[in-house]
Amino acid sequence: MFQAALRYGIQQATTVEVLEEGTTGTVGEHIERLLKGTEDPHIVGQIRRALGDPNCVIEVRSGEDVQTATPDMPLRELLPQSAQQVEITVSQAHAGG
Amino acid sequence: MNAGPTVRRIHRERDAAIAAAHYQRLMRGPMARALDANRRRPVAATAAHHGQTAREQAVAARRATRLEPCFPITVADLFGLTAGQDALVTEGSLHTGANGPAVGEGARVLCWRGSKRSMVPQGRLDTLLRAHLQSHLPSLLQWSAEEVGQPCDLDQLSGFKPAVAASAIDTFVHERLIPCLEQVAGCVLNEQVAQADPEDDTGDVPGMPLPTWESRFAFLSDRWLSLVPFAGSPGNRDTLVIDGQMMLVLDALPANMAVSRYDNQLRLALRESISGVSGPSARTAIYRIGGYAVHRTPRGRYFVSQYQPPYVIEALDGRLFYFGGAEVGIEVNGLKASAVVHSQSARVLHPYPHMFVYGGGFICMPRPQEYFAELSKRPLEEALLLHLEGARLTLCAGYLPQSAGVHPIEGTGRPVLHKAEVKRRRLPVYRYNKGRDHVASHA
Repeated sequence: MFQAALRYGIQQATTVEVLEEGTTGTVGEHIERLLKGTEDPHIVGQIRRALGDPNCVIEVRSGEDVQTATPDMPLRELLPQSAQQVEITVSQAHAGG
Repeated sequence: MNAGPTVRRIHRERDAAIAAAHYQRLMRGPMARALDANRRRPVAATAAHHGQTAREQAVAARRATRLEPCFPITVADLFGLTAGQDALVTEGSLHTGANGPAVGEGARVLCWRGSKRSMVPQGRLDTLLRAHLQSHLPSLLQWSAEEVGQPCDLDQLSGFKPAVAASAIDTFVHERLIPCLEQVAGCVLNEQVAQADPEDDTGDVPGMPLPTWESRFAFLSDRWLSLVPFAGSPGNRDTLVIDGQMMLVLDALPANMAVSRYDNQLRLALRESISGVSGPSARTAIYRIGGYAVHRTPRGRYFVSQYQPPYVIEALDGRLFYFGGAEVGIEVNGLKASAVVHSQSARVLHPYPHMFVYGGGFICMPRPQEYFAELSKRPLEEALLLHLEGARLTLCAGYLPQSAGVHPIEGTGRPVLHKAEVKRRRLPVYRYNKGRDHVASHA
């Protein structure tokens, strides 16, 4: 089994157990699957709004390993070989000056 | 107009006095105390020390006459050039040698302009380079402290005077902030391995980014040669034969020019990674969990910080700029979110050249009033962590609003990494100032 989590910034949205085969597919597809398992509609709305902004940031973490992603990237390719868990963090765009 | 001998003497004496004062200041710094005692002797005494190599004496002499920090190592030592040897690098392996018959297993025979010479294998170049850096780490630490600036003492950072008693802030930290950190960081999967102690980074030579050099080149007879395998007729071009395989000389330079180029690449690659986030901020932490830390300075100032591990920012032209780890922090100098979290509160707690970091290490975060109004409604601990996360993401993934001028990423002096090196080290790549159209094409 593979543990998958979704976060919005520092807020936890959901954590689910998925089969390892379930890590095939794109990052966007995984986010959608995790959103369906999220009970808090407020966080769901925030994540969907953030994903609508092209400057939003998606970070895929597995232990110490962190990679950035876009929704169309295959999730499996972003993870280390030995990964047993994945945490996808969606963050709104942040302006710098 | 040429100055006369008296003016020149006055200039020499003035420069020597400035250099001596600079040297004394460095020797009083915290970094200097960690250095080898040999390197803390006065310059004259050090240079006269018979146990020193010619290179160390040259460094000492240059330090006495120059204010610019002197890079303490040279690839000339690594390649054996200072010992009068020739060097050959092919497929990432280093061979060195001089005129004479081939000896030992793995030795390669070169034929260059009619003369044969044997080259003895020394090992993988990246392994040798890392060992070379490790052996010079104290000197590199000192150089880094001079080049990047002394690490910040948190007590020396500018800030507003706390509006409440220190004991009230202390109570807030222990009763509300730390439990909140436990809750937020506790949600992170595998929190035990989420962050390495930044203090450990200082000696982590294997983790340093190394420059990417050509796959085949040689130093022969005081010339540097860039090589490519060749099978046709070379015409007027120079060739070098290695074990019967002809190499075409694509480019040639005087050896000292090539050494300077490699030294400069190495200097840029190491500049940030050595200093990292070491220093007093790493020693004042009273609590750490995940990537978060709470600091209490000797003078009773509190900071909450979040560590951003090394990352890469991709510029518009596709170049990949390496940024070392950063400890982003906010001083807790009040008990109301509106007083503590504002446009000038998030900062990097150590010297950190970056497009969005300005004086005092503050991170420029242009936000509408609604953003701060929303934060001020939240409990202080939540507001702190939300703003901290925003600051971290601004640092590594901040975009430039259309109203802002473009800050040149080249101005940060950050080293550029090859794509293969970024992939090998599995560094996260954030995009800098990509237009909306460009990002949309990825989605």
